Amino acid sequence: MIGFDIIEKNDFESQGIKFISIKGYLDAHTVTQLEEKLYSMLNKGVKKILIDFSDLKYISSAGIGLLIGATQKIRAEGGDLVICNSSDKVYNILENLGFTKIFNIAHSEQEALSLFTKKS
Amino acid sequence: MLNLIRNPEKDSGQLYIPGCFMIILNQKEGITLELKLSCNPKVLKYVRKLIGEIAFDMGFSEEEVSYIEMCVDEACTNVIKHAYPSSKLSFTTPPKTGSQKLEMKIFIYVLPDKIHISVVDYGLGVRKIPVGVQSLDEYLQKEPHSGLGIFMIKKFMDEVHFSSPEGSGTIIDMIKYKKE
Repeated sequence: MIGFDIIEKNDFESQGIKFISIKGYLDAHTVTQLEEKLYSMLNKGVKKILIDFSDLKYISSAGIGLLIGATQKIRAEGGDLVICNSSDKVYNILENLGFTKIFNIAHSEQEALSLFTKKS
Repeated sequence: MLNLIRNPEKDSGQLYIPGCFMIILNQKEGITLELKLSCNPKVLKYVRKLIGEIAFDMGFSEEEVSYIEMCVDEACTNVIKHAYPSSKLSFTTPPKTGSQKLEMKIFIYVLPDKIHISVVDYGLGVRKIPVGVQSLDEYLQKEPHSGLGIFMIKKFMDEVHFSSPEGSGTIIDMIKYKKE
């Protein structure tokens, strides 16, 4: 059974964007892995984080809470966190809870890049 | 050892053998399943998978199945986080061997018109019934962010009931009705 994995990608590094893909289930058990990764990036002063949700099968309140905290922190520093390629299942949950108004969610990597550009 | 379990839908009880995952034929109207689990966060993905299979088999839509899975996950997560504070359970370190008291039970009532899931712990209980946040704005303003799990359960399930006599653990009952 899939657990949880974080894959770092090099695409868009030249544009100052840290790009990661998260895979599997983001619940109370696995959230600490993502927490360590995100806050490590934030503490190093990363201002643009792009997270690919295409292989994310499930997100719980723990995962949403982490992403909210990270998003608020990075925006306070003048940066942003963008989510891309979410499945319908995960997107519907975020939308039903109202989080699509909070998070920047793109349907593709190209759209995500434009969201970063718009911001800066 | 045999114990009597009280069926919340009827006054008559059912006999069962505790300590195992057991299917109990519930007279005419449905099936009752009981899961006994340790408060180990690793169980969450298995619970979701089982609940998801049952809900899908009952005819709930994919979207409803995802909501039901999530609500049970949130209820179990709350047990792991809050029910046994003196045990210092963490989400990265499983409970030590011998901590069989740190358990929770999930009762799944498969009924013709609904699924009824009870998540039960045997911890301290709560003085105040948890209400969670009432809105997204409230959640975003709260520091640290908390209460989202109960907010989600109330949003996605049709009925939610908490019972928590102090010192006697907590039961959360969640019901989702099938659409016509």
